[in-house]
Amino acid sequence: MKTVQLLLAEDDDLDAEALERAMAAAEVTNPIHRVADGEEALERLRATGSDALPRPVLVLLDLNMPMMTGHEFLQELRTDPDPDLRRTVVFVVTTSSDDRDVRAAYDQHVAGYITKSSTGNDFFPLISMLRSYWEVVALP
Amino acid sequence: MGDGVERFDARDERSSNDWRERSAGDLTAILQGVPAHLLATDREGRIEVVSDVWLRHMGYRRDDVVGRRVTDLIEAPDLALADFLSALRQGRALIDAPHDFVNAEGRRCAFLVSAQVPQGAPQRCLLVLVDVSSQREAEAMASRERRIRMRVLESAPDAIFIANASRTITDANPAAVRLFGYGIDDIKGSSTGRFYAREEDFETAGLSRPTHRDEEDDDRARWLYRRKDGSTFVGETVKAMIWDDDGTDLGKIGIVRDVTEQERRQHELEETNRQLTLSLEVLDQFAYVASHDLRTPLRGILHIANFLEEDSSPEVLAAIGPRLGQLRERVDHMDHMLTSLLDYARLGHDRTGREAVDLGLLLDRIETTLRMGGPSPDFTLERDLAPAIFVASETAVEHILSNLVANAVTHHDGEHAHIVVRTTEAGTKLRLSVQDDGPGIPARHHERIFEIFRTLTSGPTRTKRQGLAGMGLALVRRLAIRAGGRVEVTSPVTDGRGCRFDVLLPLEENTKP
Repeated sequence: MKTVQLLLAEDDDLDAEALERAMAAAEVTNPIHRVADGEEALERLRATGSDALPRPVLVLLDLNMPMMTGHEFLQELRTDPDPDLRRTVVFVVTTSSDDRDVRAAYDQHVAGYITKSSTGNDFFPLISMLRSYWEVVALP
Repeated sequence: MGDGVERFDARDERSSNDWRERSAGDLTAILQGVPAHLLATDREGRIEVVSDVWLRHMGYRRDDVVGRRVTDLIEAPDLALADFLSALRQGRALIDAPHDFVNAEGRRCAFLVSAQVPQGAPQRCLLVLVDVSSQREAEAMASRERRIRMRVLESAPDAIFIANASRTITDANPAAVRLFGYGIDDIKGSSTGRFYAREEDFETAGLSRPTHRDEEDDDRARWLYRRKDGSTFVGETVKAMIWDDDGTDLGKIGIVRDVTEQERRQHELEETNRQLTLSLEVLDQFAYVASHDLRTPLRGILHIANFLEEDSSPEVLAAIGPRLGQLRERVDHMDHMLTSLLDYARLGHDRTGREAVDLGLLLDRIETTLRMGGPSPDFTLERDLAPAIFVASETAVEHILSNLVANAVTHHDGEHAHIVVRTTEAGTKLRLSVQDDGPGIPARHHERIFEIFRTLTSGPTRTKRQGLAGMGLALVRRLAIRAGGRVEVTSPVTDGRGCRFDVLLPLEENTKP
């Protein structure tokens, strides 16, 4: 089984570091590719040749980001001419529990919507879920 | 006729005077049988003979009237009666005016009276009466109706025009004179076209004329009119056709009301509404964005605290540990406030439904949640629910109740809080009350407690023990108002202690499931 690559789209350095630390603490060794907004995430996914991101890949997407928000990223991704790109598996990881955000995300066929409580070190349930996910689920 | 012939024969032998005496009997029989209202009197008006028809009409027996003066049966001023008698004496006809005769029941019956002195019987007077009661009643009614119509026209606040089939105004009321500024004589005879500000309106308005009385003629429109001074106004106009009995078009009634001010106000209201909706949207958006964006740095601070803890040696940790704890507490508090702010803002977004709310189940849920959180004082939650199930927005009721119950527990100053949740029907409202036996709230604070971010205790002790953001009651009030109700506070309740919140929610017919 190929190692699942994690593409983390998160504008906040501390949030990103917290997730990385939590992964390390849970002994998850999958590579984490960090980008700061939707545009960078698309660029990373579209890269070819030696820069190409190994597959399979799971996107962990924050919604509230500068330049290109998570919603805009999903919109672009799902209408991309490249079918491989369109079927990318995306989890939304955000502090927003707003119904409109949840609905809009599932409208773009995300695999899951995870609300991080705004305080507390709460990444462990997320990490254990992700680990089970890629052990059980076949990825494109 | 045999009898009559015999009498005729007998008559020959008598003097002329005698003949008259004898023939009176025959005349009496004839007059009594005439199918008309007839009276015969002497020249002084004393009744000698009456027709059966008249007796029946008046309800008299013959004996009631024969021998009485006819003027005794007439209700009129003495002078008029004297005139009547003198006319009788002179044998003059009295047909100029009706006379009111009084019938057996005392009611008046109007008759035109024609008095004749028969030739050959100069001592007598023959009165032929013509019943004009019904005619008089009809006239009286017509006159009453005319007066009512006049008064309606005069007192109507709206301008009323009456125009004939060729659209020439035949009448208008004082309100029309006031509204248009023309004199009444100036209005009468004018074409209705004179009052429209635009000529094409006059033409368009004329097109809607029905050609048959059975056609729908509910003609309502707003037209631009012009006053005498040249100024214009928008008039809401109702027009109704007037048809003759045979279906001839007699013209139209037009009722005009100046709605310029009304239209202006309506536009103003619409604009205000639009602005309000806009600013509410902006406000909601602001609260949503603010609470999300403010969260990011807050999370960052918390992460830093965690990293510091993870990266520190045991010695350093011993020194900074308590400070990190305090820092996390403050972050918690701020986070709680942001959550509440978001909840409050979200009330503007989320559609709240109407469903059957089972208060018993709801309270179970609230109680469980509260006990899980482990609030300082223990509590009992007494229920007195009548009704226990009613139609409302479950989300709203849950928010209201959980806030009120949580408040009652967390603000309690003793070891054990006793809380009573009660529902009663108060007319068209449902009264939902939450009463506690806590310290109570001084009357001077009764309004302030409903403000945003307002708690009566302050400082760090609050965050630890009560963990309150101070949004609960603001939320309760906003939900109650949104549901068409209100919230009231009573404190103290008994012995200078306790507090009761009454939430009144509309209870319509369909709210009873």
